[in-house]
Amino acid sequence: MPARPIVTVAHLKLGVRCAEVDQIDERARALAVDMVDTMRASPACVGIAAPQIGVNLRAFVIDCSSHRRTTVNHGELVLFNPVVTSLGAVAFEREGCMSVPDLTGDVGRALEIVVEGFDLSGSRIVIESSGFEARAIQHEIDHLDGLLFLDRLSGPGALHQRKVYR
Amino acid sequence: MSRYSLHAIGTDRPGIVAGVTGVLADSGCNLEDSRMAILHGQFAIMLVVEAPQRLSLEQLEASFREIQEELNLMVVIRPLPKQSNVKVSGDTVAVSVHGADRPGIVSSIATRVAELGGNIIDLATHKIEEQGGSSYVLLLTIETTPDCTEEILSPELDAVASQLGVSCVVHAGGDELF
Repeated sequence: MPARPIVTVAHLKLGVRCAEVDQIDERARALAVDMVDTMRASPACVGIAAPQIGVNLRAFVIDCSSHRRTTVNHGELVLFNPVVTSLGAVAFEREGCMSVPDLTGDVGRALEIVVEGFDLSGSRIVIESSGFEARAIQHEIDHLDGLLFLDRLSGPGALHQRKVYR
Repeated sequence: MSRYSLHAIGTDRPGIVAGVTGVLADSGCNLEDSRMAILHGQFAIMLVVEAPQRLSLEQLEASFREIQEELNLMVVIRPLPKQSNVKVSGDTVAVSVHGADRPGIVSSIATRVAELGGNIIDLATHKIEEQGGSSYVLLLTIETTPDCTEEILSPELDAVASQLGVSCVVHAGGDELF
Protein backbone atom coordinates (compact mmCIF):
# COMPACT_ATOMS: atom_id res chain seq x y z
CA MET A 1 0.00 0.00 0.00
CA PRO A 2 1.21 3.52 -0.67
CA ALA A 3 1.63 6.04 2.12
CA ARG A 4 -1.67 7.18 3.57
CA PRO A 5 -2.64 10.80 4.19
CA ILE A 6 -1.76 12.07 7.67
CA VAL A 7 -4.62 13.04 9.96
CA THR A 8 -3.73 16.45 11.35
CA VAL A 9 -4.65 18.45 14.42
CA ALA A 10 -7.66 19.90 12.57
CA HIS A 11 -9.41 16.55 13.11
CA LEU A 12 -11.02 15.66 16.40
CA LYS A 13 -10.38 12.00 15.59
CA LEU A 14 -6.86 12.44 17.03
CA GLY A 15 -8.27 13.23 20.46
CA VAL A 16 -9.85 9.80 20.91
CA ARG A 17 -8.54 6.95 23.04
CA CYS A 18 -7.85 4.11 20.62
CA ALA A 19 -9.20 0.56 20.97
CA GLU A 20 -7.03 -2.51 21.54
CA VAL A 21 -6.11 -4.61 18.52
CA ASP A 22 -8.12 -7.84 18.98
CA GLN A 23 -6.00 -10.11 16.86
CA ILE A 24 -2.60 -9.79 15.22
CA ASP A 25 -3.90 -11.09 11.89
CA GLU A 26 -3.50 -10.12 8.23
CA ARG A 27 -5.52 -6.93 8.78
CA ALA A 28 -3.29 -5.87 11.65
CA ARG A 29 -0.19 -6.64 9.58
CA ALA A 30 -1.62 -4.64 6.64
CA LEU A 31 -2.11 -1.71 9.01
CA ALA A 32 1.55 -2.05 10.06
CA VAL A 33 2.65 -1.98 6.41
CA ASP A 34 0.62 1.18 5.83
CA MET A 35 2.13 2.84 8.89
CA VAL A 36 5.66 1.91 7.78
CA ASP A 37 5.03 3.13 4.22
CA THR A 38 3.61 6.40 5.53
CA MET A 39 6.58 6.85 7.86
CA ARG A 40 9.05 6.13 5.04
CA ALA A 41 7.34 8.65 2.75
CA SER A 42 8.60 11.53 4.92
CA PRO A 43 12.36 11.45 5.38
CA ALA A 44 12.31 13.23 8.76
CA CYS A 45 9.58 10.99 10.19
CA VAL A 46 10.72 8.51 12.86
CA GLY A 47 7.33 7.17 13.90
CA ILE A 48 3.65 6.91 13.06
CA ALA A 49 0.76 5.85 15.27
CA ALA A 50 -2.35 4.23 13.75
CA PRO A 51 -4.68 7.17 14.52
CA GLN A 52 -2.38 9.42 12.46
CA ILE A 53 -3.47 7.48 9.37
CA GLY A 54 -7.09 7.42 10.46
CA VAL A 55 -7.22 4.05 12.25
CA ASN A 56 -8.16 4.30 15.93
CA LEU A 57 -6.36 1.16 17.07
CA ARG A 58 -3.51 0.76 19.55
CA ALA A 59 -0.60 0.28 17.18
CA PHE A 60 2.47 2.25 16.18
CA VAL A 61 5.69 1.94 14.26
CA ILE A 62 8.99 3.70 14.88
CA ASP A 63 12.41 3.65 13.30
CA CYS A 64 14.95 5.91 14.96
CA SER A 65 17.98 4.11 13.52
CA SER A 66 19.07 6.94 11.23
CA HIS A 67 18.27 9.86 13.51
CA ARG A 68 21.21 11.93 14.74
CA ARG A 69 19.90 12.07 18.33
CA THR A 70 19.46 8.31 18.63
CA THR A 71 21.54 6.27 21.06
CA VAL A 72 19.70 3.02 21.75
CA ASN A 73 17.53 1.80 18.91
CA HIS A 74 15.59 -1.29 17.86
CA GLY A 75 15.49 -0.43 14.15
CA GLU A 76 12.05 -0.73 12.60
CA LEU A 77 9.75 -1.57 15.48
CA VAL A 78 6.04 -2.33 15.17
CA LEU A 79 4.15 -2.64 18.43
CA PHE A 80 0.51 -3.56 19.02
CA ASN A 81 -1.33 -2.84 22.30
CA PRO A 82 1.74 -1.28 23.96
CA VAL A 83 1.74 -0.88 27.74
CA VAL A 84 4.36 1.16 29.59
CA THR A 85 5.64 -0.81 32.57
CA SER A 86 8.45 1.46 33.71
CA LEU A 87 9.39 5.11 33.30
CA GLY A 88 12.67 6.72 34.35
CA ALA A 89 13.59 10.31 35.17
CA VAL A 90 12.17 13.01 32.95
CA ALA A 91 14.07 15.37 30.65
CA PHE A 92 12.77 18.17 28.41
CA GLU A 93 13.59 18.27 24.73
CA ARG A 94 12.02 19.70 21.65
CA GLU A 95 9.85 17.45 19.50
CA GLY A 96 7.49 17.78 16.57
CA CYS A 97 4.69 15.74 15.06
CA MET A 98 3.52 14.88 11.55
CA SER A 99 -0.01 15.75 12.70
CA VAL A 100 0.99 19.23 13.90
CA PRO A 101 2.79 20.80 10.95
CA ASP A 102 4.88 23.94 11.55
CA LEU A 103 5.11 23.66 15.35
CA THR A 104 7.45 22.04 17.86
CA GLY A 105 7.41 21.99 21.65
CA ASP A 106 9.58 21.35 24.70
CA VAL A 107 8.15 18.15 26.14
CA GLY A 108 9.17 16.31 29.29
CA ARG A 109 9.63 12.59 28.61
CA ALA A 110 11.16 9.75 30.58
CA LEU A 111 14.77 9.13 29.55
CA GLU A 112 14.37 5.40 30.08
CA ILE A 113 11.34 3.31 29.43
CA VAL A 114 10.17 -0.31 29.46
CA VAL A 115 7.22 -1.16 27.21
CA GLU A 116 5.42 -4.43 26.64
CA GLY A 117 3.33 -5.25 23.61
CA PHE A 118 2.88 -7.61 20.70
CA ASP A 119 4.99 -7.81 17.56
CA LEU A 120 3.96 -8.61 13.98
CA SER A 121 3.85 -12.34 14.72
CA GLY A 122 1.62 -11.81 17.74
CA SER A 123 4.36 -12.66 20.23
CA ARG A 124 4.57 -10.69 23.46
CA ILE A 125 7.76 -8.62 23.53
CA VAL A 126 9.41 -6.38 26.08
CA ILE A 127 11.26 -3.31 24.80
CA GLU A 128 13.77 -1.48 26.96
CA SER A 129 14.77 1.80 25.45
CA SER A 130 16.30 5.14 26.33
CA GLY A 131 16.99 8.59 24.97
CA PHE A 132 15.52 9.62 21.65
CA GLU A 133 13.90 6.26 20.89
CA ALA A 134 12.26 6.20 24.34
CA ARG A 135 10.93 9.70 23.60
CA ALA A 136 9.54 8.55 20.24
CA ILE A 137 7.80 5.55 21.87
CA GLN A 138 6.17 7.80 24.49
CA HIS A 139 5.08 10.26 21.78
CA GLU A 140 3.41 7.43 19.79
CA ILE A 141 1.72 5.91 22.85
CA ASP A 142 0.30 9.38 23.65
CA HIS A 143 -1.37 9.31 20.22
CA LEU A 144 -3.08 6.05 21.21
CA ASP A 145 -4.46 7.84 24.27
CA GLY A 146 -5.67 10.79 22.19
CA LEU A 147 -2.91 13.13 23.33
CA LEU A 148 -0.67 15.33 21.20
CA PHE A 149 2.63 16.88 22.31
CA LEU A 150 0.63 20.14 22.50
CA ASP A 151 -1.24 18.66 25.47
CA ARG A 152 2.04 18.02 27.33
CA LEU A 153 3.48 21.53 27.16
CA SER A 154 4.02 23.52 30.36
CA GLY A 155 2.60 26.61 28.60
CA PRO A 156 2.77 28.92 25.59
CA GLY A 157 6.50 29.51 26.14
CA ALA A 158 7.20 25.84 25.40
CA LEU A 159 5.67 26.07 21.89
CA HIS A 160 7.87 27.00 18.95
CA GLN A 161 7.27 27.77 15.33
CA ARG A 162 9.23 25.60 12.91
CA LYS A 163 8.90 28.11 10.08
CA VAL A 164 10.28 31.61 10.27
CA TYR A 165 7.84 34.07 8.75
CA ARG A 166 9.45 36.97 6.98
CA MET B 1 14.79 56.11 41.04
CA SER B 2 11.63 55.95 38.95
CA ARG B 3 10.25 53.01 37.05
CA TYR B 4 8.76 52.86 33.59
CA SER B 5 7.35 50.29 31.24
CA LEU B 6 8.55 50.77 27.69
CA HIS B 7 6.80 49.28 24.68
CA ALA B 8 8.33 49.38 21.20
CA ILE B 9 6.76 47.97 18.05
CA GLY B 10 7.74 47.99 14.42
CA THR B 11 8.75 45.88 11.46
CA ASP B 12 11.52 43.50 12.47
CA ARG B 13 15.07 44.23 11.33
CA PRO B 14 18.52 43.72 12.78
CA GLY B 15 19.50 46.30 15.42
CA ILE B 16 16.20 47.04 17.16
CA VAL B 17 17.18 45.50 20.52
CA ALA B 18 20.61 47.12 20.30
CA GLY B 19 19.02 50.49 19.46
CA VAL B 20 16.39 50.45 22.21
CA THR B 21 18.67 49.14 24.95
CA GLY B 22 21.45 51.48 23.79
CA VAL B 23 19.27 54.55 24.37
CA LEU B 24 18.27 53.18 27.79
CA ALA B 25 21.89 52.52 28.76
CA ASP B 26 22.97 56.00 27.60
CA SER B 27 20.15 57.49 29.70
CA GLY B 28 21.39 55.67 32.79
CA CYS B 29 18.40 53.30 32.90
CA ASN B 30 18.63 49.82 34.32
CA LEU B 31 16.67 47.01 32.67
CA GLU B 32 14.56 44.88 34.98
CA ASP B 33 12.32 42.43 33.12
CA SER B 34 11.78 42.28 29.40
CA ARG B 35 10.06 40.21 26.78
CA MET B 36 10.14 40.42 23.01
CA ALA B 37 8.23 38.66 20.28
CA ILE B 38 8.18 38.55 16.50
CA LEU B 39 5.04 37.54 14.63
CA HIS B 40 5.04 37.44 10.84
CA GLY B 41 7.93 39.90 10.72
CA GLN B 42 6.40 42.33 13.21
CA PHE B 43 8.53 43.08 16.25
CA ALA B 44 7.31 43.96 19.76
CA ILE B 45 9.27 44.40 22.96
CA MET B 46 8.17 45.32 26.45
CA LEU B 47 10.69 46.29 29.10
CA VAL B 48 10.44 47.42 32.69
CA VAL B 49 13.26 49.85 33.45
CA GLU B 50 14.55 51.69 36.45
CA ALA B 51 15.50 55.28 35.57
CA PRO B 52 17.57 57.85 37.48
CA GLN B 53 15.39 60.28 39.48
CA ARG B 54 16.73 63.29 37.54
CA LEU B 55 15.42 61.85 34.26
CA SER B 56 11.84 62.95 33.53
CA LEU B 57 9.41 60.96 31.41
CA GLU B 58 9.58 63.72 28.78
CA GLN B 59 13.38 63.54 28.67
CA LEU B 60 13.31 59.79 28.33
CA GLU B 61 10.74 60.04 25.53
CA ALA B 62 12.85 62.67 23.78
CA SER B 63 15.93 60.46 23.89
CA PHE B 64 14.09 57.89 21.76
CA ARG B 65 13.19 60.27 18.93
CA GLU B 66 16.27 59.57 16.87
CA ILE B 67 16.03 55.77 16.83
CA GLN B 68 12.26 55.93 16.44
CA GLU B 69 12.89 57.61 13.09
CA GLU B 70 15.87 55.51 12.18
CA LEU B 71 14.28 52.13 12.98
CA ASN B 72 10.70 53.17 12.19
CA LEU B 73 9.54 52.21 15.67
CA MET B 74 6.57 53.22 17.75
CA VAL B 75 7.69 53.69 21.36
CA VAL B 76 5.34 54.15 24.30
CA ILE B 77 6.66 54.78 27.81
CA ARG B 78 4.46 54.68 30.91
CA PRO B 79 5.38 55.45 34.53
CA LEU B 80 5.06 52.56 37.00
CA PRO B 81 4.73 52.47 40.79
CA LYS B 82 8.08 52.33 42.60
CA GLN B 83 7.58 48.83 43.88
CA SER B 84 6.29 46.02 41.77
CA ASN B 85 3.27 44.83 43.75
CA VAL B 86 1.76 42.57 41.12
CA LYS B 87 2.42 38.94 41.85
CA VAL B 88 0.80 35.81 40.56
CA SER B 89 -0.38 33.31 43.13
CA GLY B 90 2.04 30.71 41.86
CA ASP B 91 -0.64 28.17 41.00
CA THR B 92 -1.21 27.91 37.32
CA VAL B 93 -2.76 25.51 34.83
CA ALA B 94 -1.77 24.98 31.22
CA VAL B 95 -4.54 24.70 28.65
CA SER B 96 -4.13 23.40 25.11
CA VAL B 97 -6.93 23.82 22.61
CA HIS B 98 -6.66 22.55 19.05
CA GLY B 99 -8.74 21.62 16.05
CA ALA B 100 -10.08 22.94 12.78
CA ASP B 101 -9.77 26.70 12.50
CA ARG B 102 -12.96 28.70 12.95
CA PRO B 103 -13.82 32.16 14.25
CA GLY B 104 -14.30 32.55 18.01
CA ILE B 105 -12.06 29.85 19.51
CA VAL B 106 -9.93 32.22 21.57
CA SER B 107 -12.79 34.52 22.58
CA SER B 108 -15.08 31.65 23.64
CA ILE B 109 -12.39 30.01 25.78
CA ALA B 110 -11.13 33.32 27.20
CA THR B 111 -14.67 34.46 28.02
CA ARG B 112 -15.38 31.28 30.01
CA VAL B 113 -12.04 31.66 31.86
CA ALA B 114 -12.92 35.29 32.68
CA GLU B 115 -16.43 34.30 33.87
CA LEU B 116 -14.82 31.83 36.27
CA GLY B 117 -12.50 34.57 37.53
CA GLY B 118 -9.32 33.05 36.09
CA ASN B 119 -6.57 35.32 34.83
CA ILE B 120 -4.81 34.46 31.58
CA ILE B 121 -1.12 35.22 32.15
CA ASP B 122 0.35 33.78 28.97
CA LEU B 123 -1.06 33.02 25.55
CA ALA B 124 0.12 31.85 22.16
CA THR B 125 -1.95 30.97 19.13
CA HIS B 126 -0.94 29.51 15.79
CA LYS B 127 -2.88 29.02 12.62
CA ILE B 128 -1.51 26.14 10.57
CA GLU B 129 -2.34 26.35 6.89
CA GLU B 130 -3.08 23.00 5.32
CA GLN B 131 -4.46 21.77 2.05
CA GLY B 132 -8.24 21.89 2.25
CA GLY B 133 -8.48 23.94 5.44
CA SER B 134 -6.43 25.05 8.37
CA SER B 135 -5.83 24.02 11.96
CA TYR B 136 -5.72 26.22 15.02
CA VAL B 137 -3.65 25.80 18.16
CA LEU B 138 -4.24 27.85 21.33
CA LEU B 139 -2.07 27.52 24.43
CA LEU B 140 -2.84 29.35 27.64
CA THR B 141 -1.43 29.65 31.12
CA ILE B 142 -4.12 30.53 33.65
CA GLU B 143 -3.52 31.72 37.19
CA THR B 144 -5.84 29.69 39.37
CA THR B 145 -8.08 30.89 42.21
CA PRO B 146 -10.23 28.86 44.62
CA ASP B 147 -13.13 29.29 42.13
CA CYS B 148 -11.03 28.59 39.08
CA THR B 149 -9.02 25.44 39.72
CA GLU B 150 -7.86 22.73 37.34
CA GLU B 151 -10.82 20.55 38.45
CA ILE B 152 -13.32 23.33 37.74
CA LEU B 153 -11.72 24.58 34.51
CA SER B 154 -11.34 21.16 32.92
CA PRO B 155 -15.06 20.28 32.46
CA GLU B 156 -16.03 23.91 31.85
CA LEU B 157 -13.53 24.41 29.02
CA ASP B 158 -14.25 20.93 27.70
CA ALA B 159 -17.88 21.97 27.26
CA VAL B 160 -16.87 25.17 25.43
CA ALA B 161 -14.47 23.20 23.23
CA SER B 162 -17.14 20.60 22.38
CA GLN B 163 -19.46 23.36 21.20
CA LEU B 164 -16.66 24.73 19.02
CA GLY B 165 -15.82 21.25 17.73
CA VAL B 166 -12.23 21.44 19.00
CA SER B 167 -10.20 19.49 21.54
CA CYS B 168 -9.15 20.90 24.94
CA VAL B 169 -6.78 19.55 27.60
CA VAL B 170 -6.25 21.24 30.98
CA HIS B 171 -3.33 20.17 33.15
CA ALA B 172 -1.45 21.49 36.16
CA GLY B 173 1.18 24.07 35.28
CA GLY B 174 4.02 22.21 36.91
CA ASP B 175 5.52 25.10 38.85
CA GLU B 176 7.05 22.98 41.59
CA LEU B 177 10.37 24.09 43.04
CA PHE B 178 13.14 21.56 43.41
